[in-house]
Order: sequence, then structure tokens, then C-alpha cells
Amino acid sequence: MNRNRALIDSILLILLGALMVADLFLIFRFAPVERTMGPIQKIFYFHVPSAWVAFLAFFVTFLASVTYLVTKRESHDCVASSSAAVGMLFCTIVLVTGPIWGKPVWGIWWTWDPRLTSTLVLWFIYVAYLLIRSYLPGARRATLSAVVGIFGFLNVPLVYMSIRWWRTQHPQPVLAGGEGSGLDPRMKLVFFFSLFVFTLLYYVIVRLRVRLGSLEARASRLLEERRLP
Amino acid sequence: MTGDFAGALSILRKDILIELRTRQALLAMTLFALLTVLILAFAFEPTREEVKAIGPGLLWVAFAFSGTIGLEHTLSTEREEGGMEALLLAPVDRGMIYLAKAAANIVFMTAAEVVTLPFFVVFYNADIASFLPELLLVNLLGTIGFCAVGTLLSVVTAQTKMRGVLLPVILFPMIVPVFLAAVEGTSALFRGDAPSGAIRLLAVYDIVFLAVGFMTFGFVVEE
Amino acid sequence: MTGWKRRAYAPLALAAMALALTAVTAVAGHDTGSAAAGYAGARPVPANTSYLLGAFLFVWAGLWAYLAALHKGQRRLERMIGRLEEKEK
Repeated sequence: MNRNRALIDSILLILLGALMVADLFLIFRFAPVERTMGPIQKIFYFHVPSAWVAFLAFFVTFLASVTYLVTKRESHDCVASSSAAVGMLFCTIVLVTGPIWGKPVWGIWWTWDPRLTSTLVLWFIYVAYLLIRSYLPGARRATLSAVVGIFGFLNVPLVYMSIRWWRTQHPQPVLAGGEGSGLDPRMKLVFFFSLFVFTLLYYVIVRLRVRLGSLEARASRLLEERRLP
Repeated sequence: MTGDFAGALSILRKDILIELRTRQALLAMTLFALLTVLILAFAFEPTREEVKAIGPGLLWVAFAFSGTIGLEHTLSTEREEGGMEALLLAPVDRGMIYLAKAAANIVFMTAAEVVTLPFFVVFYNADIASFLPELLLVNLLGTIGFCAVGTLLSVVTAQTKMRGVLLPVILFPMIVPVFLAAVEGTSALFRGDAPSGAIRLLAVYDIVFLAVGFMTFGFVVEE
Repeated sequence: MTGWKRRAYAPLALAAMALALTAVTAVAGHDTGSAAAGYAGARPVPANTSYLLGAFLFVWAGLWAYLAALHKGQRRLERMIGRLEEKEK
């Protein structure tokens, strides 16, 4: 069974590598250059799928936290933490690529728009989640971080609501002609392909990390046993 | 259920009694809030018109900082004398213990706020008399939200190796909705508008997190 | 035990840095005009495609290296567990 699993992992890794290269090829060769924004628009194929994966990852963390509190199974905690770490990574990609796109297109690096601000707050919440995790004693780590994971995710809609409502009190920078309007079919194809590759990437990272986590737990148990007698 | 309620009330009464005898937390919180108001006055030197724009934010920065201090303090007293273990042995539902603890924090924080407000009025020449009841309502709702999340998270961070240091790191991003709504609601009052949007959002936030805190506190304190 | 996970963070950090650096040079290299001119995307903005491609490639390479490191660590751990279990018997 172990050998099978390792084989599947290897195949997934190679497949993923190929898909990632294909994605780049599609983005830069196949997708047409946007008329008004120019090549900078290609960030969109990285930015939006990253945002999707980040939200998905935080949602998975929330679900795994709840199921951990119910079942108390170690693997659920491992899923929660791995997913949060991967979500953090993609959230960072979102926050870095966003301003890079925003500067030439909007003329500003940053605006306190609800979507931008909520993503930033989200980033802070999950940085804190991972930080607290790393400082909790082993025996209490899983339970306590599960509670923090639940609190963090329940905050997401409230953060978004509060910021949107707060911002509508002020004039907003022009966001017209947003990303979704009237996409070329080729662009749409590349976008969905990119979305697929990112999601697969997320799955493979979490899969490998969860596996590594359970192996580590088993190895340390074995080492303990050896030390005991 | 009535027994749980009575238990929660006696925990709350105990906390308030201790505080009235020692006055440790209240003094520290109030002084800290006042100092923050003072330092921000030095930093911005606002005119009367500017106070209307930055006053609400400034007040809530002071409240949030002093509230954090209060949260750290109430927990350290419980830990020092092994009070938490004794509390958990009491035949009271864990959720009710959480509500009692949150209520105590709300009482202390509100007390510090009420003392800070007159000083704010004097230092900044702010005129709050015309909307004082609404202002207190927004403050109370904001304080409930702050303490609902803060009480639970302070118990979590108290168990880390860094103790209280991590509390603001996790608490501040989580209370962004409270902060925004409270500041915006207070600003609306300064402008002469009704803060109905802020009150609605704060009420939703308070209910959601008090309920989740009630449900999860048992996991946080279990030994 | 956790050494593997920690070491595997290195490519991630590298990728993030590479992304930030490359992309900032990609944008900073051009006169993007004042905030007023750029606002609604009123005029076409040049951007250096090869810089962008470089940034994306860096991120991909970093992530893939991370995955490979995880995979390798996993295999090592499996071998170690195998040896430990052998000794048990």
C-alpha cells in the first residue's frame, strides 16, 4: 500500500509539473494580449486562481477544525494546519500580484477597497493562527488551534461586510471595467485551465503535507517506545 | 439551567468584588486609556473640526489598547492562585463560565471607557453631550464584541509559550469588524447622523461570537 | 522530526522573494504616469512580458521544489520507520 501511495505521489508530481509549464505556455502564447491593459493583464491568470485557492484553503481549515473538535482525530488537525499554511502562501501571492497589477492599471499600488482590505485582514488572521500554533504546547495544540481556526473563518464574512459598508461612505476609486467583463473565449479557457492547475497544486501540497505529518507522528511514537524500556 | 445561571452570576460577582478590593485592572486600564488619548493628542494636535474626523478612531484605539491590557490581567490573576482549576471544578456549565468571564471583562472595560470619555471631552474640546446615550450604546456593543472574542482568545494565548504577547497579534485582526463599525458609528454621531448600520453590524457580531464562544469554551479550558 | 518541513520552507521563501523582486522591476521600469492619468486604465500601459514570465516561472519552480522536498522527506521518513519497525521485531 505504501509503495502504491509513493507511486501515485510521484505521478502526481510529474503531472503537476507538466501542467504548470503548460499553464505558463497558455498564458503567454495562447491567450491574447488585452487591448487596454496590455501584457500586465496576464497577472490575472495567477492572481484570481490564487485568491480562489486561498479562500478554499481557509474554508478547508475551518471544516477540518470543526471535525477535529467533534472526532478528535489527529489527521483532521493535520489537514487544518497544512491547509492554513498553503492558504497563507497563496494569500501572499494574491497580495503581491495585486498591487503589481494595480500600479500600472489603476495608477496606485493599493486602495482600501473591500476585497483588498478583507484579503489583507485574512492574511493577518492566518499568520496569527500559524504563529499561535507554533507556540502552543504539543498536547493542547490541536484543540486550541481548531478553536482559533473556527473563530478566524467566521470573521471572514463580517470583515467583508464591515469594510464594504464602511467604504461605501467614501468615494471609491474607479474600478470600472473589472476583470470579469466580456472575456475573450481564449482568455476564458486559459483562465479555467489556470484555475484547475492551481487547485490541483493545492490538493497535492496538502496531500503531501498531511502524509508527512502522519509519518512524523508515527516515527516519533516509535522513537518514544524505543526509549521507554 | 437555573443552577448554571446562578453559578455564572456568582462568578461574575466574585470577579467584580475582587476588582473592587484590589482595583488593579481598572486602574491600569483607565490610566492606559487616558495616556493613549494624551499621546495621540500630542501626535495630531487636532483642531475642533479635526476632532470630529479623527476623534472616534482615536477613542477606539485607546479603548482597544486598554481592553487588551484588561484581558491579560483578568487571566493572570486566575492563573496565579490556581483559580482557573477551582473554577472548572465548580458544577457550572463551561459555556456559562465563559459568559461570566466575558461579562466581567465587559464591566471593567466599560468602566474604563466611561472614565476616559470626560477626559476626551476636555482635552479635545469635543461636544458629545447631544448624543451621549447613542454613543454609550455604540460603545457598549463594541465592547461586548471585543470581549466576546477577547475573553476566549486570551485563554488560548495564555497557554502558549509566549503568554500574553500573542494576544494582540490574533485579537486585532479578529476585531476589525468591531473596530470599523464602532468608529464609523461614532463618526456618524459626530456628524449628526444615526448610527443604525453600525449598531446592526455590531449586534450581529456580538451574537455570533458570544454564541461561538459559549460553544467552544469547553474545548479551550479542558485539561 | 520537523526539520524536513522547516527546510522545505526555503524554496517557498525564495519563490516569494523572486516574485516580489522581479515583478517590482517589471513595473518600476516603466513610466506608469501619475495617479490621475492611470486611474481608469485610460491608456495602454506597457509591461515587460519577459519579466512577468520570469516571475511566474520562479514561483512555479519554487513551489515545485517545495513539493519535491516534501516528497523526498516523506520517503526518508518511511525508510526510517521501516528500520525502526524492523528492530522492534
